[in-house]
Amino acid sequence: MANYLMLTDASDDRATGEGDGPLPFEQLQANVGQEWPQISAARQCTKGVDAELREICGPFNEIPETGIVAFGSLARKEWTSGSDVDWAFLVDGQADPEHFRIEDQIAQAFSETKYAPPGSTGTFAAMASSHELIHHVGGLEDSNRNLTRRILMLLESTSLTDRVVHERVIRQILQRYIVCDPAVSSMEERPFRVPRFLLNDMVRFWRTMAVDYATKKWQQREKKWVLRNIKLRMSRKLLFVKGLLMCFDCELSPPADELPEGAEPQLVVQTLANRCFKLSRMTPLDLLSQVLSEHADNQTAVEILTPYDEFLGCLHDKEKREHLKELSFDDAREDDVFNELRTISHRFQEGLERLFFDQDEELFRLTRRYGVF
Amino acid sequence: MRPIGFSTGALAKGDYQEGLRLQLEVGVSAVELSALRENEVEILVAALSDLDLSELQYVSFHAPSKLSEMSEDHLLGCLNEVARREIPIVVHPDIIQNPDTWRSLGRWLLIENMDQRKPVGRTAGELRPFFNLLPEARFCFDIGHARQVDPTMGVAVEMLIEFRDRLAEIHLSEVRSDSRHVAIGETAAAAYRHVASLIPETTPVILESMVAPEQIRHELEVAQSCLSLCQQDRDGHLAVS
Repeated sequence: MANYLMLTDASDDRATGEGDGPLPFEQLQANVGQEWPQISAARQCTKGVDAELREICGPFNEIPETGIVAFGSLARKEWTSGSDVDWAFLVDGQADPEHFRIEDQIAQAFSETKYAPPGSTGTFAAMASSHELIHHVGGLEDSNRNLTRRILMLLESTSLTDRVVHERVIRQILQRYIVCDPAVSSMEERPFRVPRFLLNDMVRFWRTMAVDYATKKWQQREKKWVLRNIKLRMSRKLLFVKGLLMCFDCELSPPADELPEGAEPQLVVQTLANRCFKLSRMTPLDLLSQVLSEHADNQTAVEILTPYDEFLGCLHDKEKREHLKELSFDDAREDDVFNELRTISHRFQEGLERLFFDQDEELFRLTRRYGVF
Repeated sequence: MRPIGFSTGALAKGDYQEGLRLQLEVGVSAVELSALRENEVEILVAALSDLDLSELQYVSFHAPSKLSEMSEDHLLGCLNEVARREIPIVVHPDIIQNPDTWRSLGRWLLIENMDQRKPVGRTAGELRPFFNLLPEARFCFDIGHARQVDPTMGVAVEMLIEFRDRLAEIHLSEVRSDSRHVAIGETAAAAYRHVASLIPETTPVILESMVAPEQIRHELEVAQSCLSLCQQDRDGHLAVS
């Protein structure tokens, strides 16, 4: 007898990695004929942690109009030994004073795990209202925290409870960017185009992360600055790559064949939002791997993913990680571990430049057209 | 014109005779006979031969939403009798435990998309495995459920595109966050108009709005306006087919 709970579809679960078919990263490994063992190990490790955290969050599944969302390495499927759990208690419905107590209970449940808690900025391990995420896009009300939560919802988030609330909020955020901000020019001319509003916020977020890195280095007197520096060069940059590719994909792979002939403009735009939703549910490495498979040669894939693999290997190495935590700015220049990671980040950068500028005419056109001015 | 009418359950819960009488009075062209609770199934199936449904263009049957006492096999025994009469049967996917046995209903089985409370069948991705296992089954699209799951109607568009060849019936009402089916409000109506062009003009519509008898006619007019298929008359009223 089949249990209906088993009837979930593989392609819909690609975001969570629960499907049976190969995901784009694994497919790329097979196509290129090269393994990236640290990335694979991190993805494998994520499955175990994800299952454990879902079980811990099980009791919170029944709270209506809410969900628990995880960000960071867990959502990117890049879990390493030093990873912490960045989570938010997402409320998409009627405000209820009881939510405050539930937030405490969730924090308590996570504190009883062996995993490190998130940083102390208050961006994570807290309640997040969908109202702010959906309505406060830009303008005075859009705080640094709100911007971070909103963009990370699109770039690296996974649900630890039933996914319906999480996915509903993501779709509504995308609605704000894509459907509520139609292009001035005619839809008939070029219906599937790069969504500029979304792209601008992706760029803003990337630059904000870079500025905040310098601010934290200054304010926190260089505490943990090396790890932030390296993450900015690698995993944070990868997030920006995903943001760019999500936007560029609207022109690179338009979902034109999904619609009936002569579909109304509003349906065309909705299809574009649906497409972006699907891309948002892919991990940054999976989306990058998909683009590498379709728009680059094997050498470029190797040039990008090999340094990223080495980066994850360093993060997973407890000794190196602890060493980097304590390293001062003045000592860094002569430090072997830091210099090894710097070189890795330079190779990663060169690989990305090759992908965006030298591999595919259309990708280059989009990068030049939308990437700077 | 598109066949349109109410679910008997929306108008009179388990009293199918009253639910039928109330809407035949206003001249609907479609009806869904509702047996949402398992103890209503056998009674309704036994009554099918005595019901005068000759004036209607479309009739469907809604199977129970939950099984507590009745076995899946026993339910299927009842539903096979409905299918034998060539009446489409709307089924919630979460009661399908053994898909093989449901194949006997063939094209008369209509699988409905679910509201946010159910763990399955809410999106195209969650419905796909059911249709893969039941290739003859068709699709009952509950537009209110789809909007509750996703107010942007992105989920609705995905389902209407992916299952367009299976689309056999529309369920129409507004579904509140507590999953209660109520009269269609203006915001919901606007959302439904957004996807109306993806719904063929011949697909039957069954209203599930729980309204009082005196609101039946008005709700039918609102429903028609949602799907943009009729003209307003000089007084601004919408014609009910």
